[in-house]
Amino acid sequence: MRRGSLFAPLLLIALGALFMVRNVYPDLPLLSYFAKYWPFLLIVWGLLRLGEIAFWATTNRPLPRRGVSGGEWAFVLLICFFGGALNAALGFSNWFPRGRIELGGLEMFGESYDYPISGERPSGKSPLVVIESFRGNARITGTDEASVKVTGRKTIRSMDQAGADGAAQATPFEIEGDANRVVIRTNQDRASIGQRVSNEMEISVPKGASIEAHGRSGDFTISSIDGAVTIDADRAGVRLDNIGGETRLDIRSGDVVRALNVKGNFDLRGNGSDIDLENMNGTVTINGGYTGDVVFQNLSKPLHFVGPQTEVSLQTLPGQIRMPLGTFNASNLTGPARLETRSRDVQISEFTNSLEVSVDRGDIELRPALPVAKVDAHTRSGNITLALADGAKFDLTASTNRGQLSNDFGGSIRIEESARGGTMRGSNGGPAVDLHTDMGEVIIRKAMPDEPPFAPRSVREFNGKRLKQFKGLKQLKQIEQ
Amino acid sequence: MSATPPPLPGTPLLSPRAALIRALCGPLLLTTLGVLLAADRLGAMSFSRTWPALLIVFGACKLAEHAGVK
Repeated sequence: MRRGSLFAPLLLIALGALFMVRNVYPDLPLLSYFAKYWPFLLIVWGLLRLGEIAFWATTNRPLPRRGVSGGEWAFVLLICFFGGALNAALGFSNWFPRGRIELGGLEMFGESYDYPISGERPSGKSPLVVIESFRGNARITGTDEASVKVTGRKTIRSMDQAGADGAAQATPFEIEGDANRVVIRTNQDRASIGQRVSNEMEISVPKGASIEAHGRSGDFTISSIDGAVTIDADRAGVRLDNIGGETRLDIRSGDVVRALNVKGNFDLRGNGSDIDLENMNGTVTINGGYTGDVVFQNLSKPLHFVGPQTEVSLQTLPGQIRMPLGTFNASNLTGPARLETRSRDVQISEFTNSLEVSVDRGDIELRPALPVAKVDAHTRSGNITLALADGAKFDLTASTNRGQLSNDFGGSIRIEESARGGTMRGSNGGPAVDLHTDMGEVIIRKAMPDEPPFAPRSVREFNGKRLKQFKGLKQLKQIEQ
Repeated sequence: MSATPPPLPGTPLLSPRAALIRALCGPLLLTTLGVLLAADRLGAMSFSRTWPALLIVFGACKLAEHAGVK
């Protein structure tokens, strides 16, 4: 009998496991993982096949004529094409059609050549500072001076010094404009193919300035600006601190977005990993897929979050919301609040006004503050727990189509059991509290006075987040700019 | 009693060692391809620079296989 490879059944098991995980955590970005790591599939496949053949050879079993058959090579080509296309489509690289990639910290060919850059332009007290399309890091700080100053360095990756010098001269640093508008231009797109130019800039601007930045990749750190901030980037990490105006971020593939003390409205679009917003005085609107840690703390105006699987809206958030994978924890929020999600376990404590929760798959645990808010919570599959403090007023209707009912409040709540589920009803004159699960338990319990909030407020370091830094600079040469 | 038919002209007889090398050639190429593409994706080396390694591995396999042919 012809002996098949272990790879095919292992691939089937892996695919089954992945789809299972995807069902349990719909937010898990499997496509994104595949787009990033698909070459490792080939490595595992090759190593498995090497191991198999070595094992057959040592046990004197007949060896296949070809280690990898023609059909398997066709499948390899398909994986390469699909992986490369997905990688480009999700914005991880511009692999097609130019073949250039972003280089990370580990570089094997060529050297890094460093060239200092500097420039200054007098301006008014509230100019618009435009940073044209560039790759690299920019740290922008508001000062009391009426001028825009740039210092930093340009790093060129090249095979030799002459090539780097040529690229440095082809990509002059420019700062120009008038009192109302200052343009910072790095001209990186003038470098020839095969040479990579990136800039690291410290920019000081008048405190009243507005910033408009267009980046291809890199990090922006902006602090102490009274004007608006607009960033449009392919790949970027953004840190904002003490911003007075409106903030609009459009980042196709973001790393970390961290904002602290923003007075104006905050609008974030795109895709990325972590979001961390704290002390926001304007409306916060977020639209996109964010797969890492999402944390909101102390929002004074409404929040609208629209993700592929989860939508949240609320009026103010004196407390905190945390959304790690598969869960939604919140405490101390003001309604009317609404949460709709496909698959998360939801825990919300200390909410006021009204709350509407809709979950496809996941448990719901609610602990309203007094007086009890109007609640409408339902899940298709999961338990619902409602913890009420002594003295709470409510008009409760809690039902399950299939599951048990449990009640700590004794006779004031009556239970009507049906074939597989039942309904609990009880009213002492409070607002409507409607709970329903298609499949799961419903538990009404008494809240203890000292129970901790589900998402306690925490103090976090502004600079504690990972953001890429330039490194490995080996040579420094000064040229005429 | 019939004798074992002679091999077809041009068909090499492979020693067990050569057969093993030939069987290993595909997986080795596949692993190399995966390593080069992973290095590209991680930003270490561009595939546009490293692809000749595939030719080298393939050539080395063929050479080793040839050395094992009787």
